[in-house]
Amino acid sequence: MNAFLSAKDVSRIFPSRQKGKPPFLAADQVSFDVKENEFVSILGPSGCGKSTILTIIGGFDSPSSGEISLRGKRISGPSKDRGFVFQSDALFHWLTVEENVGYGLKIQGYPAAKRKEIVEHNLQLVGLTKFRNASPGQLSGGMRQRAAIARSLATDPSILLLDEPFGALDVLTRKTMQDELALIWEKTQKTVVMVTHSIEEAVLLSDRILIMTCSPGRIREEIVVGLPRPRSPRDPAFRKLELHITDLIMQELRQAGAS
Amino acid sequence: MKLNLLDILQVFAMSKIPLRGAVSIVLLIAVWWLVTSGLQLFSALVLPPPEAVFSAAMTLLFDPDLSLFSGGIYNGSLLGHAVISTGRVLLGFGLAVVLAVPIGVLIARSPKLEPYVDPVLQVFRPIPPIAWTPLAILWFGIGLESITFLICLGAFWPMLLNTISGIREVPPILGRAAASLGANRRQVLFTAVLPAAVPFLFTGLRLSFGAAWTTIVAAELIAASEGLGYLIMNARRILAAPDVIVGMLTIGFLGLVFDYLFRAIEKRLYARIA
Ligand SMILES: Nc1ncnc2c1ncn2[C@@H]1O[C@H](COP(=O)(O)OP(=O)(O)OP(=O)(O)O)[C@@H](O)[C@H]1O
Ligand SMILES: [Mg+2]
Repeated sequence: MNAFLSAKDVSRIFPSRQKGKPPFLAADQVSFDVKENEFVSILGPSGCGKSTILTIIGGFDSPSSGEISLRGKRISGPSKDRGFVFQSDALFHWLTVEENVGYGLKIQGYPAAKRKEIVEHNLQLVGLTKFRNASPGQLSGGMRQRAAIARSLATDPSILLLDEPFGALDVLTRKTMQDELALIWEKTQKTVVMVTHSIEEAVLLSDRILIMTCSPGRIREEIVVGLPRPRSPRDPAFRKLELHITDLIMQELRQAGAS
Repeated sequence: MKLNLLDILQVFAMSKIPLRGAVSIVLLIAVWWLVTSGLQLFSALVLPPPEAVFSAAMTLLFDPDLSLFSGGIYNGSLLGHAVISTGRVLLGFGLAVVLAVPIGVLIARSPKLEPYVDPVLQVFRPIPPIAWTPLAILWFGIGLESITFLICLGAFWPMLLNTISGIREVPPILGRAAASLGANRRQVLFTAVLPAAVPFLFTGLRLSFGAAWTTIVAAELIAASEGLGYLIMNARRILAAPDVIVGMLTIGFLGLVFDYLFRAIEKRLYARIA
């Protein structure tokens, strides 16, 4: 089967910020495929190039070598075809929640009636109908991230890119949001690539997990999560997989430390 | 957007100017009176006492025919001078904004341009507008064009620099978010980057308008026969110190009023931001 999203030998070298220091290899020959309607997570410790990869898929940056293609077409810039939810809050703070969610539709020239209908649907999907007229500044961190997800879903992109969407949230809000994302994914069946450094989050949501290691950023391991949905961290099989991944990462870290 | 007197008054009332500001103003006038009329430390020729300035102001306001500056279409009234100068300031300021915002956006949005543009900016920025006077006269002759040119120069830099830093301060993810939702380059600029930079742009507007007022005296040195700058420089020529101070305080007062006006507009425009 032809891959929906395909990364081939993607490397990204950043020129050093200070003079005299060597350039920094943030991603090293990263290759992976994502199938349509699949939920794939990129899991790894902080600073190992996860955002770098996702930013390139988003089209905001280009690889130093290699390429990423969507439906066989090389990615060369941002597109409404690829929705992006950022690591930190990127709502337009001068617009209301409703206007934020409708922003992409307005830009893409949807008629007002259609726009209203889609915005309504997406506000319901993320449970923000009551806050439609609030400004982002009045929302909690969790609600803001839900609004950002609704904004990305509204224009119906063929793939959703999530960069640690819940990284800035407290543990309890995070758990609720994870369950909600699982529900949203089941309803929409979107193709998703999510970056995270929470093992539990990755196991809970993903069909497949790509494990990255640092310096240089590489994909070391691929795990197929075959657990039935809905999943629960209390399920012994869930725990077992979580521990297995933890061991894998620890082993990698030890090897990296030893070499 | 409607802006009524009530809004302006509300801004006045909410700021601490009326109460605490009034205290220091009264105190200042008291000290002024003390060192002049009270203790006679300064002669009236050097620093006229408050009551002399007050009576000069009254004459200029209500009996302009009796003042030393009658003539011109407004017959030399203080109000007339103020209206003329305000008009010139608005013209130069408006021109400065119209030029500085697009240029600032262009510079801020093209990092490759910076190494070329930056040295030029650094060289021209410290040159005070008054130093341009001879060239202004050569280029535009004696009249409104030269005056507008000088005021525009004064107002240009603060607007330009605030536009550049305002646009640069906008987090890149806002533009990226817009682009991933289908915005093209122009839409990214107008619907994401510029709105996000509004607070900086307003600071730029306020500073720039203040700078326009700062330049007015220098600009009106050029063969103006009306205006507050003319009033001040002419009063100096005939040693009418009270009228000099009336002119100065009028500029200060107008600057204050317009600054509050800008703040009121900004508040209205940006009320949504929590
Ligand atoms: N523009 C840049 N210039 C130079 N170095 C960069 C740049 N962007 C990222 N890096 C470096 O590349 C490495 C990978 O960064 P990246 O943001 O992809 O990490 P990450 O895995 O997303 O980490 P986190 O979990 O903390 O978000 C980091 O060490 C970072 O310092
Ligand atoms: Mg990151």
